Amino acid sequence: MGRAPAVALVVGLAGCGFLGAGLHPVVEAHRGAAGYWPQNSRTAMRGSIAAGYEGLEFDLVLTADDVPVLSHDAWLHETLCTLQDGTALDGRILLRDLTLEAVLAGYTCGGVPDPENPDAEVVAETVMTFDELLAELAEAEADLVVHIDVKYLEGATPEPEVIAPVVLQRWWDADLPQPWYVSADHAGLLLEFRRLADEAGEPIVTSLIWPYFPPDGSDTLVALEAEALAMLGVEDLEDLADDAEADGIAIPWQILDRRQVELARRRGLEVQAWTLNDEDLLTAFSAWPLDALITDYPGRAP
Amino acid sequence: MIALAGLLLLAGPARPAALIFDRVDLISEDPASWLNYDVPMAGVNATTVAVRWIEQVKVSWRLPTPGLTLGTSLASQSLFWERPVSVAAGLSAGAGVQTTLLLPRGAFADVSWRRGRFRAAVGVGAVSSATWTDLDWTAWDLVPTLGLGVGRR
Repeated sequence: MGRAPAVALVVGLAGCGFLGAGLHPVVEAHRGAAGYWPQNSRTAMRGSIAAGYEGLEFDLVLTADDVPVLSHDAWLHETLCTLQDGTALDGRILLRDLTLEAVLAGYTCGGVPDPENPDAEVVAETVMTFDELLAELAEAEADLVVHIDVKYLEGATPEPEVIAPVVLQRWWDADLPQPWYVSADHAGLLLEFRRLADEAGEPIVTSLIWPYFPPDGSDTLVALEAEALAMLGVEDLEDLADDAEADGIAIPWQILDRRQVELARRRGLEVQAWTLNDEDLLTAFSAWPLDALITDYPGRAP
Repeated sequence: MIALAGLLLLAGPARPAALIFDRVDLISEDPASWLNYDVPMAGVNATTVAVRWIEQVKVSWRLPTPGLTLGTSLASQSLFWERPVSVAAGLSAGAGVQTTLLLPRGAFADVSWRRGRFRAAVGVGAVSSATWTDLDWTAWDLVPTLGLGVGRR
């Protein structure tokens, strides 16, 4: 057999996954490009906007007086945040137990090296509010996709009925031109966003983050369980999204299955992948039929 | 489950079926997704590719009806029937149905070559998107298949 037919046979037999999808996934700066700047910080948001990244992803949590601030956890980040004088935090301090004034007066974040992102700049600053970020986006007239990841944790944050209107009203009031979508790992929260938007006659795009990783659980066990359920067809991406009335689903790259992604896309579902930080990973998944690649290092994307 | 049970009843004799080990397919023709979708990512996602390789390793059992085998892996269960095309050359042709958790979701056909304990097969599979949570047999993918196994002579 000649070389060309042999190569064609190998590619033919092992084919589909080698072919590019011909799409260009939006590269989103995860937590404002946490690989370069302190995650969810003012510096990160400004840096990402100035860098001209295609997408900006950040997390929102409500304070005791229902002000959305940028934070991945329902509490002040135990490693990255300190008291104003630099003293380490004594355990978890829930944001819902602090007013915005107390948060700004008492704490700074980003002034401690981030062990998860050792190359990130170290900058101590107060927590950024959603209002501030909206103002920055308006002023910069940034041409990017805004990805708002809203956090809900039973017992640690307000209920979805409190969170959704606060975030939505601020977004609507800002009247920004950028395309945007809301993600959450809690179907009930996305349903509440959908309900409010429908009531107001406003368009909304939502995405379900799957699977749910409990804050103190084992990521490996959760990933293995999700892999098993998907393999057996016990959980179906479209069903999961349907249950949350979501337009899309955001999945960690480790358990992405290209055939499932292709099926989901055929059914009109958007699929985002998180959090791809290696150049090789970003290059490989760029060829998949994905809508977004979420990364701490947008500069590494092809 | 009903479909597979029905096929077994039609294919097998009235007495309880005696399963005889036939082979282990290290690369399995069903569900045919590992080679097509996972192997290309081996360079960047080796752990997942390894896990999914384990999922697709299939043990096949001969059923009392000549040429009929039952294949079981974590990812799929299949009923496969094949007959010799050329005994001298060790060539056979066959076709089978594939299930996931015993839910019928695809079919495949192949030409296989057997020498000693080694079996290699190339073929084509038609795989639907049906799952127990979404009984949808409207979307199908046609994929090339490759089987590599070792077992009884």
